[in-house]
Amino acid sequence: MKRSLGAVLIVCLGLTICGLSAAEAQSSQILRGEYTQQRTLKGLAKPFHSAGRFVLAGDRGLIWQALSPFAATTILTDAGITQKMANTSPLKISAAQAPFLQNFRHVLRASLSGQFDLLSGQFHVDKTVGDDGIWRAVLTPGDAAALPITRLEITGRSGDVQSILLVRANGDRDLIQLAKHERHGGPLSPDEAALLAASGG
Amino acid sequence: MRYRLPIWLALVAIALAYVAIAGWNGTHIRSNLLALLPDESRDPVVEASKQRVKELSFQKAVFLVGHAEPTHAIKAAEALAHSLTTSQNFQTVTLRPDSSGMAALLSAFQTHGQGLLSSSDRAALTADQGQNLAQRALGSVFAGLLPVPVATLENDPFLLLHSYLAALPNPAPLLRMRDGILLRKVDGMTWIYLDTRIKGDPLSLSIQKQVADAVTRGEAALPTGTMLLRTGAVFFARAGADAAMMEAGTIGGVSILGVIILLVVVFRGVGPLLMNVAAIAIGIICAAASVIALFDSLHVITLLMGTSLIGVSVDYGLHYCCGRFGAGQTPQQRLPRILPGLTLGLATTLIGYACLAIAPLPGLRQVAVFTVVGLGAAFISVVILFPAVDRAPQRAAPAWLSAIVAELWRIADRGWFRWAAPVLILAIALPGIAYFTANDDVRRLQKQDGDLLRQQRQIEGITGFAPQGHYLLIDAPDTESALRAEEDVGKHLDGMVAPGILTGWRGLSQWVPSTHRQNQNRRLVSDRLEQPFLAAHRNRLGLSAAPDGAVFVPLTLEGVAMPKALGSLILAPGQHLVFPDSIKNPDELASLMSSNTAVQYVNPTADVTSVLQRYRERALMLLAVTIALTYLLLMWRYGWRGGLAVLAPPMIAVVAAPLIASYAGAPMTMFSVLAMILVFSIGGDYAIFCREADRDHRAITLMAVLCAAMTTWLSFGLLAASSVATVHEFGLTMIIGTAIAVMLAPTAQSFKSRHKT
Repeated sequence: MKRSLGAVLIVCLGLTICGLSAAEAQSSQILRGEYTQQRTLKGLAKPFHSAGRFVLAGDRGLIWQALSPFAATTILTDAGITQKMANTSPLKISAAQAPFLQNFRHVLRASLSGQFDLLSGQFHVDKTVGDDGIWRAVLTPGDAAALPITRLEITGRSGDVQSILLVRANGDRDLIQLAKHERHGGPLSPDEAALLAASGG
Repeated sequence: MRYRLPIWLALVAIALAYVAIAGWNGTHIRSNLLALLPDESRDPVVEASKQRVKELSFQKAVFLVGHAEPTHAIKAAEALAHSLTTSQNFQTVTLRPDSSGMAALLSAFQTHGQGLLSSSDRAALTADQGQNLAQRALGSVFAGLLPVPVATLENDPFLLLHSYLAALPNPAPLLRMRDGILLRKVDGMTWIYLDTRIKGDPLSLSIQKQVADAVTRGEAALPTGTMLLRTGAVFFARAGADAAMMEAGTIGGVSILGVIILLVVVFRGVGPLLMNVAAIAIGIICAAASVIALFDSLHVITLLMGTSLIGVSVDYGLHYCCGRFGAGQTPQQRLPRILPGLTLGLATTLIGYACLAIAPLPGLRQVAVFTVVGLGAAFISVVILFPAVDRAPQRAAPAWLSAIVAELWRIADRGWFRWAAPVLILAIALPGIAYFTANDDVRRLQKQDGDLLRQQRQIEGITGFAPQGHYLLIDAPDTESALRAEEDVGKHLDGMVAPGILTGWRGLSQWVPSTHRQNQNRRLVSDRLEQPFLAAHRNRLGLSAAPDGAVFVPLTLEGVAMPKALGSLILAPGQHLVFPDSIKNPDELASLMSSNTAVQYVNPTADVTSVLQRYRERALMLLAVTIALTYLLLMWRYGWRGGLAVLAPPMIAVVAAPLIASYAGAPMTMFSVLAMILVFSIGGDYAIFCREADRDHRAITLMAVLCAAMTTWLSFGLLAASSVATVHEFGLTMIIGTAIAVMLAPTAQSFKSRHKT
């Protein structure tokens, strides 16, 4: 009886914490947009193309929702990564099992929002602005970088990031192009909030 | 007969020397409660598993270092880890868990992992939904954020290993990893998890002190605003020992002081005090010598129970010493008058104690030997030693004592008293049946420190894991059958996770399935996934046609280097431990196991509780046997009616004491049964002394009984003030039982023919 009470208490505690962080997130900026992703894997002749929407909810997490060639949703939070597809049980990898996820999320968040200063600890940032107002930042890893990323090239205009090129140590690359940026103070839609909450965000 | 005193003292000296030599040679005092279980019921594999679980959990000490500022929290945790490491009192201090052991296992998965399937993937394939798994892999590659190297895809195009790894049990579901440190943010505080193992036995007082000092030093150096939570057996043991020593100091001090004052005031000198202390000490020495000679070791429970039981000998000593208040008696004349009563009192008590030896419980047999020898030796000391050293002249008893005794006899002499008093006591006691319960829970033996319990709950809340004392033991002829048994039981455990009865479980088969299961999985993948979908799937991914499949070699437990945490689940080949995470009702787990003979549920706490329960039940039965045998002895001397009159006071005391105590919410425990045995033998002595006393000496006899009762209250009764529940109940039963025994003792004179002495 005592033990079950304890479990209930822990669950309640968990809900309270979720509630608190939801309240917190509402005050921070939410960035929405559309993307196209071109993934080139070293050793394969043709690249993969996909497109969809994304929601970057400040410190709470990132929702990466592919719509074509088929629907697949990836949710990246403090707790880890969850991949959901129709007809299969969701695939969850916790941050405790894969510690690099934490840093990966950090890099993605900074790249998508253009906040390079967040990465200055692990990357050397070289930013130039062209005559047409489009800036271009090349990030090369310093000694402290813990991810197998050799290069990040990010372009954008004023506050909006337009493209991200991510080159991995094994030669694989992801080219992501962003469009239709939308920023506002929140709140998240109930669906988005539910996705993040279910993934521990 | 002239030499009997020197001979006796020589024997005692030999016993003392024997105990000293045995102690010098390292005869250890055993304290494992389970050693008291009957031998036949102890399975060596179960005992070995308990030992392993104890090693795993007993030396563990866990800290959470909290600070509002994450960087400060990490710095504080690093400082504490450094301080604890340099203190030399810890085997390990782990702030950043080492993942190299896990890495070796993961690389084995990559080469031999073709037979590994997560349970949801296995279910999908069994239901012939291979298409969905192929689709999922495409989703990860096309549209996922995580990198998927081609090398991985070549080996595992359906990414089944990813899914398997993701489904492995998460040891710390609530904690997050940052810079290799496990932490969690709760309510604006960042808590850092620090895992340690202390050096040495957490029950050792010196280890407790060293660890506590090291933690205090580390805590003192932490920056302001830092909070420190701790939990671990060593902290609870230290708090328990501190509380027990405080209590032993206060209760024990008051008790000893009380007895000294009582005896000095009553006898106006220290002679009787010293003589009684000597008699009890001789009793304990002889008792210890005989137990060591017969059993090779002395159990701490024997020492505790036995010493209490030998305390009854103070009745004989005081009975003798009160002789000085009688008219015209020299020390040599005091003994013969009371010797028949003393001998009969001893005989009835010895019957009771010897009965303990009948029980098939090794602990009680030791107690029986200890008490019979000890009480006998104390009795001989009273009979031989006391008259030899007693120089006290005859003198009048203190006026207050004489007045009380005179009044007691005046009441007892009224005809109605011998009927009304027992009836009244029983009338008060009998409704107590409604409140009467028994409780053998071993946790009531120790009062847990409130502040530490609060910290432990807080740590459980933050980390999401709680120490589990119970577990499943797999005992099979070899590793393969052990893993299969584990998978069999794992199916049931998984079934309990879904409705929320169980939060999860940890076992080896989750990491390395049985060869049987791996072959089954391999076939499933081949038949339901690869044959229908592989060619198209590889084509879609842009991979070349599948190479010829290498021969599948399953992963084996013996073939991989296990991380330490998993390796500790193996006791011996074929013997594995499986730990349930927090569970609502452990009984469901126990009932689940009955179906599989290779699996048993082990709950060490419940085992100790059942030891206590069996001892209580046996002791209670033996008490009944003792009462019957005592009656036979009393009938031989006093006739059937006289025997009943002598038996009635102790018997009513034994029946009424636990019932009256239950009004105060005190359940019956092994310790209250021990108190009942004591009450019966003490009450029996009182009744016999009163019965044996003739009209001239009945005043001094009742004085002796009263003094004996007061020393009992001061020594045992004061334990009622203890904060430890079982000790409190022992004391309460003693106070009530002894009071009833004294009150009714004069009625033992009923049905006494005038001229018999």
